[in-house]
Amino acid sequence: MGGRLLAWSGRDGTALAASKLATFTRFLTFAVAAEMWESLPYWAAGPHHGWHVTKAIVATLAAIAAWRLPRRATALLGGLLLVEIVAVFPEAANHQYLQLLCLALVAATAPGRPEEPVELLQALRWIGALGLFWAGLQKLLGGYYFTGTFLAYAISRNERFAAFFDWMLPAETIERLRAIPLAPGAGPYRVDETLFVVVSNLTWIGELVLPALLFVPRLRLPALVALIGYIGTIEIAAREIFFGGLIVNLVLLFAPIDAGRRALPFFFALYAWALLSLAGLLPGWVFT
Amino acid sequence: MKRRLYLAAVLFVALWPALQFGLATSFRLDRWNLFGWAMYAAPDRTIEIAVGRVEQGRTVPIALSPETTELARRFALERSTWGRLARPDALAKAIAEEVPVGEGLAVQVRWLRIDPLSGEIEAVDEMFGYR
Repeated sequence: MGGRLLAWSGRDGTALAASKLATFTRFLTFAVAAEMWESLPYWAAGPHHGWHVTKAIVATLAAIAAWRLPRRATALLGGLLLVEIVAVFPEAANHQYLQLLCLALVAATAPGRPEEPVELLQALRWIGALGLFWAGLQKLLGGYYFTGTFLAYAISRNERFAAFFDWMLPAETIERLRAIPLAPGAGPYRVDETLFVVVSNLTWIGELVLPALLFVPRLRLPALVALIGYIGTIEIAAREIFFGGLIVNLVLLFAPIDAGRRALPFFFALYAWALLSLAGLLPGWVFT
Repeated sequence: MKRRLYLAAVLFVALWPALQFGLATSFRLDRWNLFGWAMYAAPDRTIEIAVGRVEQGRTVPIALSPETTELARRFALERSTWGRLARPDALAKAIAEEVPVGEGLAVQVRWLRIDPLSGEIEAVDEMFGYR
């Protein structure tokens, strides 16, 4: 029963599963280490800055070691990440819990037993799809997307969202939203342009529907392509490169080939660019 | 075989957000937190704190010192995260030790809530009284 449930997300051959697992582990460990460097400015003024620098260095060494010793490296990184999550609790980002869960599952998996990577990948596919589904359901339950209220609020408070919707909305609408004070009776965070309201509703509908289509074998590939495009579009506005990178790599596990391997250089370059820009060596830090 | 472990992880991701949603709704916790996948589901929480002393049944505003202003700011952050689970007891105690509060102290916790459909900001107030 459990095996059949896991297999709804697809089933890879043992060789393909081993390859995908190795690729995913390399992405995951590199992303976790990169984010530990990215978070250092947050800790700079605190009393434990030295510890966090040490943690980032150890995490980098673990990410390198993960190419040869994936289980030990992911176990070590999981421990470091757990410390970070506890240190900032309850403010840890949702994707950090997801990283921790993935690290723990990879650390528990023996690559030498062919069936374990196959079933681990099935579970990871489920986890990625369920996460996206819940993200859509939470937006639906919140009710802030039906009339575009959340996106109007985001435009008013976040320049990246304002820039993203610049082509869609008249300049005076964006100016009005950005001028709304945070005071009782102020507002409304509302935009009447039909296209804007449609985009707002497609946001949660896409998160609910596209992950579900990944479980229909005939629709898996088009759903995968649509989801990657969908996540990419959202990240142009949100620029959550660590969440976005992780969820894209989880979705890529649905591909009939090791697509993550082809995407790996892109993510290495993206995170390297992000860190170099944070260090002031490349133009402006534009990510979160 | 690790099948049970993998299934447990999948079930956790499938079910935990429902519990997180229930907790967040019941206690007005910040929905963004606690692995509920509610990122960008609702606007950021803005909390304002006002403090007054009670005199003849009326509340007269108290000017806070820099120290208690900082305590109030921290409490507002705590409240925006923990919702109803965060109470201003420590803040009230610190203020009472700093200034005379007469018949009592009133702490108003105001949540500037954005109505999902109208998009207008409304004040949701909760009062805490101390004698």
